[in-house]
Amino acid sequence: MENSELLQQAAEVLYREGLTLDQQDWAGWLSFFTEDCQVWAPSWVTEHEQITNPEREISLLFLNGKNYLQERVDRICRGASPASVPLPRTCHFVSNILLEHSSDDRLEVQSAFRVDYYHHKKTFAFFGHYRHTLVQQDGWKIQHKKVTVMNDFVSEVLDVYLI
Amino acid sequence: MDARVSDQRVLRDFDQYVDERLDDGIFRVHLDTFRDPELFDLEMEYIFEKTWIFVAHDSQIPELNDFITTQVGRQPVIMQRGDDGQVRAFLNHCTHRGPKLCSTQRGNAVRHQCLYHGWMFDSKGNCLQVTDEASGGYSEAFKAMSHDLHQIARLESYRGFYFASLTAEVPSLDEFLGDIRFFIDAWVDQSPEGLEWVKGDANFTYDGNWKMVFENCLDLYHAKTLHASFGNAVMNRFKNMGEDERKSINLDDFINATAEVSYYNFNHGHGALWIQNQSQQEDRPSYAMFQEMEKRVGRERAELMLSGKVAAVFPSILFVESATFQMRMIRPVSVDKTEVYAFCLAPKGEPDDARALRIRQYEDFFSTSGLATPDDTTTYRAAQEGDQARVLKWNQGYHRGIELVQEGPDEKAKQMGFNPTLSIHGSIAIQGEAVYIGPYREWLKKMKAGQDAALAGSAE
Repeated sequence: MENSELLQQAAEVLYREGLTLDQQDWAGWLSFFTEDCQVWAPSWVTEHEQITNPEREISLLFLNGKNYLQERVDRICRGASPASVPLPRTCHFVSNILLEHSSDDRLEVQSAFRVDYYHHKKTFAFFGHYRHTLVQQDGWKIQHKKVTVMNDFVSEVLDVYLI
Repeated sequence: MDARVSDQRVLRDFDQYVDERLDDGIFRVHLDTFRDPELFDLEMEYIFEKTWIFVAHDSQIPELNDFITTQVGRQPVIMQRGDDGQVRAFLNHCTHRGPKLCSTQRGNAVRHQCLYHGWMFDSKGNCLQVTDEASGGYSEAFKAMSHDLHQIARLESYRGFYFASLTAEVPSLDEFLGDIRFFIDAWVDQSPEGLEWVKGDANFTYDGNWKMVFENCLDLYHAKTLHASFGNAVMNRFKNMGEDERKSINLDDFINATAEVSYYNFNHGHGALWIQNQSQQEDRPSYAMFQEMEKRVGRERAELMLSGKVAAVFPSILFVESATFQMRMIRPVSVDKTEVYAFCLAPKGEPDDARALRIRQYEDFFSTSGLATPDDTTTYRAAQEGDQARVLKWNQGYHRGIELVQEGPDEKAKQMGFNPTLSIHGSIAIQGEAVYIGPYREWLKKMKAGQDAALAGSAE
């Protein structure tokens, strides 16, 4: 397949993943992930150095397996978590999408993101870079999503729908 | 100078803020302590800048010339291991014109050079260079001044925890901590080599008063309601994912009340709680070292090491062992804004799989991306907003356990050989709030002493 075509397919996954979160379409969001997926937001150690090993160092977020994504969705939907009620309105922007490695069944995709969100009459944002590993399983699925969060001094909540 | 002009401060009758009538079954704290910006400024002056404040753990600056930047009260501080190996704390402030010398969180530097006019200081805080001093036409008086960085009045370490005080008029750190060291020791002694800092910053801020997080960490009462969503997730893990998936604390302990608890107050405002006969000790990361610990310190102390417990060092350090162990440093920003710095401290030499479990449990419960802490932080903001109900002076949140308060140690404390000023003991269902008596007694004492000292100073 042509790289330009793969790039377009990858971009579509990234855009739609963000859109499902913005639309609070949780089932739709989960459907983009493989069972063995990882979502990893490494923390910072100094201004320009991040941790490298989530088994030895503290991550901002490390969800190892789709079960843990499902758990987040359950938490959001149950309504027992004050951090998730009411949910902020979010808007995911994904841009600067680059195909770093590609084969017919595996893509490494680098991109930049910004998530603006609004709650309690205030507007906030998280921004940074994504690196997605997409694998072909009846369409492209996310096997690994690394989120480099640039503004890591978190105001009250950091969760899957804010990055 | 005209004293009336030099000191405009309004004299406060601080007794109005802490209503302690234990004989009548009453303990209340005035809501203005959470919402009055002037009181906040006085807290900074009379409490945070007149006592021991945590600055860093030894393992954060292991090498010569390693430094971290922090704050003591409102003051910017560099804490550095000098090239002579000695640890010092000095103001992060160029003596010439004032810019912060270090604007990074941490690093290693043989010297600090101010980028404004180039004055230079070594890692011991000594001034090495007043730029172009010879041609500067300086007075003899200037030349006689020390240009060195201002050293913080006191810096002492207790078992790797460095605390600094801006005033020399404080008791020794050992005396200040007093018998809350019993609990600190229980964490440090998990390994014969002590604790180490696990890398990775996951700090957060919330729009509420600093006392909210201090109170929250000694509060068991909120666990089953506010953290229902955490409890539910943990129960589902057992159900859906099997026994070997990510384990964590079982909130059944709070619901079924099979465990017992002791609450303590210590001199200088510290508070603690200790959950006894807790289930699921084998799921604690430190269980991997239990046999070694038991051999070294005996069964009782080894079980204490695995137990849920909290040590709150007034005003700003929280050692919390629930799902796992976290140390929190509270940095008040304003009356309704607080920063919380989080530290994962782990026993040195812990097996790799236990360390990985510790890290997962830590993020799972404590991180601001986790399943528990965000519910706390958002509730601090909600409480801050609710407390704007200015027609009200008081909440009712300090009364649980008040009938069970005993001055002095309970049986557990006597047995283990430490001496609290106040104890509450019983079923975990007490979920006592009277543990806040000690911290607020100290609050009152420090505020009054601070005002008295300020008055004495302005009268001179």
